[in-house]
Amino acid sequence: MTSAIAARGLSKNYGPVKAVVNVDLEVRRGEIYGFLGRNGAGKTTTIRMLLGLVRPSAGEISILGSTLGEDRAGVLARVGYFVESAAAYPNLTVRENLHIQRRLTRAPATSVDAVIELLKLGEYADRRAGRLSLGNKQRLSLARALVHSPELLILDEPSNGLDPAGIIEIRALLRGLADEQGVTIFMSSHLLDEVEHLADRVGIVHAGSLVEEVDYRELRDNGRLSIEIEVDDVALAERVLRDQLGFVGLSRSGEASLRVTDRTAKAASIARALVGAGIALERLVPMEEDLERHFMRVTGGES
Amino acid sequence: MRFPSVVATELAKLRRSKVTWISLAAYTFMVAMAGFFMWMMMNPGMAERIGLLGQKAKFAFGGESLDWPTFLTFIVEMGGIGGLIMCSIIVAYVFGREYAEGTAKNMLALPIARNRFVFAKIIVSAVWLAVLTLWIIGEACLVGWVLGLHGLTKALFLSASAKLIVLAVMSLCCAVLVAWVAVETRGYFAPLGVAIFTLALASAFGHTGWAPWVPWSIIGIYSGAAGPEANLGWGSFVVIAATFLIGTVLIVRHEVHADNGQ
Repeated sequence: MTSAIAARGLSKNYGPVKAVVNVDLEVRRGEIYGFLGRNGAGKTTTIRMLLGLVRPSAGEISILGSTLGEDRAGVLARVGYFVESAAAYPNLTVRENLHIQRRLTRAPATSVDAVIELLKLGEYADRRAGRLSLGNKQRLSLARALVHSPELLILDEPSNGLDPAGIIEIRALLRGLADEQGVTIFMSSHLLDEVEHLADRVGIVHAGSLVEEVDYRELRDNGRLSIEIEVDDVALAERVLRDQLGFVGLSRSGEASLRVTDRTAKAASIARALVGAGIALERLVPMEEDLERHFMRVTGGES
Repeated sequence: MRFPSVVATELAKLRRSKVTWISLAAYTFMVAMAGFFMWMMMNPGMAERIGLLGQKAKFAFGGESLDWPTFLTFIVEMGGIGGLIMCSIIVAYVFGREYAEGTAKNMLALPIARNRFVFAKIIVSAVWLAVLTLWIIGEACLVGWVLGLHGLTKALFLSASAKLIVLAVMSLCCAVLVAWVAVETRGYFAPLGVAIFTLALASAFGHTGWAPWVPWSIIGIYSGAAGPEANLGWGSFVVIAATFLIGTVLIVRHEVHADNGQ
């Protein structure tokens, strides 16, 4: 089966500013892909390129098996999206805004009521969009993205402006769309918590580059264990761990400390080996790396 | 996607828009003011007594015959310059609002050829302007009748109406450049500034030999605001048509090819 999104060598320059640099991206069908990065990392520019709103300086984009440049209308008819901030025609009601989207995407008339119910907008259906709270505007934008039952959802910061209950509802809605209807979801976020709760895979973007793609379940299950060790003789400890235990993932994390990132490392065997070599072991702390620590590490800001 | 559906959705976007009512109010006020001036000319004594007409203004009004031809000449002149301003405001709103309200990114990522939105917006602006033109024709008839003016003939009515319609078409042709400024600068303010600048341009060239070749001055000449002796050749109409074509190509080029990164 072809990927839902495949981008190769995607770059975007604004004059001398490199907004996106040589991004290779692959989103599998039916998965929720979290596109994680700090503000200004290049997430929105990448999303705009995926939707054809911004022309890449280099690279190719394939959406649902078709090249975006060759069959723009055909591809976008199968994609629901919202970019950057909730936006709607303020003088029109929620229902009228959705009917505009429905007509332009040739969705059936019943789809408007269906998404109003799905996004719990019934109470506000006849209220003008300009008078909605930020959270309800966000719901309206999500409803607009869903009105034509897309196969792929491209969402830029979908929980912006939502209250905690709203975030949980939207999270459940997106999970349900992926699990029950096989909708592929590509969502950008700078909120680790949001991605942590929802994404199957995570792409971490930093300074315009995709620095890592990780299977979040794998990250969660393996925990990417690291062990922090404080000893009186770092050089000797390093030699012992390399020679006796065969560790490769070993680095100095301070004047008297070492970090073991080798996946086979066990705290007990490290302690035995170091004490056996006559090294004074001051501290030995197994550290589980969650997404937050992982993100900070790969984006160069140690937590 | 069928083009009529795109036009229908563009029309639907105008529902409950304040700008539609403001434009209608402005046109209503414009005709009412023309009627008011006529009334002052017809009743200079009363106007002077209640302080509406000074001695200087009385001289300015001197020599005008107080009948339908004079009134309709007023209306056509106002329809020329006023129509150009109003048309600029309309297209600045129709095109600029998508950027000002943040909906452009939604619209441009729809599975519809983007040039269709451009043409649909031009059609909607034309429909809007047509309604306003019909409105001022109707209101002028009402005001003239209330004032009890004389000299209305079918030929005069048709001639004035035709002039107003042609002026509306010319205004739209020129305003397309304002629409291009709206999409290029992504909002309302710059196009409104350009609209004011074009009026200054029309005024600056209005009494020079260049006037028949400057699109905005051409509207002034055709409306009679530049004086009754001014005439237009076919070249001026070609200039107006060329302005429309250039403006439309520039908007389509922007919407189809430009980055919508903001």
